[in-house]
Amino acid sequence: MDRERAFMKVVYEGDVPRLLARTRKDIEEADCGRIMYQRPLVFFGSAQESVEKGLWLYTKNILPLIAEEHVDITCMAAVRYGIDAIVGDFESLRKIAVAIPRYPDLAKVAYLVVADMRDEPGCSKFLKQAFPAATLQRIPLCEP
Amino acid sequence: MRTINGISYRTKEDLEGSCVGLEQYQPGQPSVKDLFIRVTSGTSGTQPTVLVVSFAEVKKNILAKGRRLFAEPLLVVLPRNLSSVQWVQLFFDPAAESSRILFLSRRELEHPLLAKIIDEFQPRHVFSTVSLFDFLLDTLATRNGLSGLAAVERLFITGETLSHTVKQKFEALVPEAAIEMSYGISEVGGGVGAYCATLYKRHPDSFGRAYHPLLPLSIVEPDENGVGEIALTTRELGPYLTGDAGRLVAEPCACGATETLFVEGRINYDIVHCVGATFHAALVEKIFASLREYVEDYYLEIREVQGEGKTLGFVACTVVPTAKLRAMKNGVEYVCEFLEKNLQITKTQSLGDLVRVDIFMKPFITYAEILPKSVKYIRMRKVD
Repeated sequence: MDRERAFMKVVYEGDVPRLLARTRKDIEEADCGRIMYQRPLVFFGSAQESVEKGLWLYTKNILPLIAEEHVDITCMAAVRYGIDAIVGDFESLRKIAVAIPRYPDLAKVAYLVVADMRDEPGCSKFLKQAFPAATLQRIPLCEP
Repeated sequence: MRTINGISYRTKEDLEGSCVGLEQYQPGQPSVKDLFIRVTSGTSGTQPTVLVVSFAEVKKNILAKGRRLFAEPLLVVLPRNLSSVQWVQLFFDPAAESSRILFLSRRELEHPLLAKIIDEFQPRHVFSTVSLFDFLLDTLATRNGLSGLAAVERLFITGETLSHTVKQKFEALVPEAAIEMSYGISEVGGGVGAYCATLYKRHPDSFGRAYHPLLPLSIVEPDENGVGEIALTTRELGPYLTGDAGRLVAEPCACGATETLFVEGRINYDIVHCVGATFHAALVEKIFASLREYVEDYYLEIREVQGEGKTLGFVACTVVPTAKLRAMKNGVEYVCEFLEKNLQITKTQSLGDLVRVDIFMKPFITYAEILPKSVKYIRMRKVD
């Protein structure tokens, strides 16, 4: 491991935080799905996760818009950036879906890359209804 | 746009609701590594501006002037996740001499085990804004968790002006750390003015005010003292008026710089930052416009005060009451409540919201027959 250069990611076991060292190589080699898009919004419940996935996109020469804590600021910025994909977890996608009546352009995204999605059929159906134009891609669960 | 001496300058208002600089983005090309997205927005839900900012040119400056920034374990505490990703991405730049980087999001800052996270990381450098670092210190102090910052050698601080009270607090709670301030604006990534220790030896009273320019700067419409509005030029913005007042002096420095920028606050006192909240003169004016029946004129003094174990915001408001307000038994309370309820000072919170959670003290309202002449054109000011 490149001990000289590491992004120390805060991960939670239950609600107990600990630090996990992530080198550029670790980040680059993560499986975050196929890149079919150009302007992704990265939105995870954990900002640590959003930043790490953002770094992964940088390794692929894709410019990410990282979500902020405030959903409306995130949505307004996403509309301005003209996002064509959302990379995130199900709960964060649900927050965007709820905001779609205020930001109808977001319903037009072409790709959803979803981590941590529960297997219940209701989740896929919910996303399909909220983002009818989107192709759904699942990626592995985030690390603890 | 404002045209001054034949140059058309953009202003913040021109950018509102737009996406600037996106034409630089070529998906899949290596040049993407030097691009960052920045989002700026007003306090009360104004449309944000999305800027795609190139660091290709300023990276040299950042990595030269801020080389030490990444060289030791660096703790980053910034208000925006987009800023955090920008600094982590720069940290991984092959040209940077980096060690370890940790950023704290709101979840970590509010977590009961915040001290454990910092203790485990043992930062030697910290990069933050005045208000967020102040919040971090308050939180750690109340949990006996300041030991995690014992190894900090340098505080790189940006954002608002560092008041004397808050500077003293930083020096007391992180005594081994040298404080270095830089000057930046949210529309530009990487800073506008750089810290220089030699500069403060020459101008000892100008800490947090004197910088070496990192970008081509000029002063427009200077007064007899040379103070005017700071204008800068970037690839994305072109000629741009910052809204900040300043003075630019040509003077060689031992560090190799040839100019010094003295930042003198806002050009028209339109924004005041205090404990992480932002007072916009336009919003304050709107509030008092709704109180026209009761208030003829007003003046706000905003300051940071040291409360029990934490820094608090405080607003003292002098009003010239109308006969109607004078006739009211509870006129002072009426104005105070109106201000608390209606004055939005963060994206989601009013002054009253921050009073309830003990970030601000209750506003103090006093009546005056007439406002002093000195505040004729200024309705709001930060005082130390």
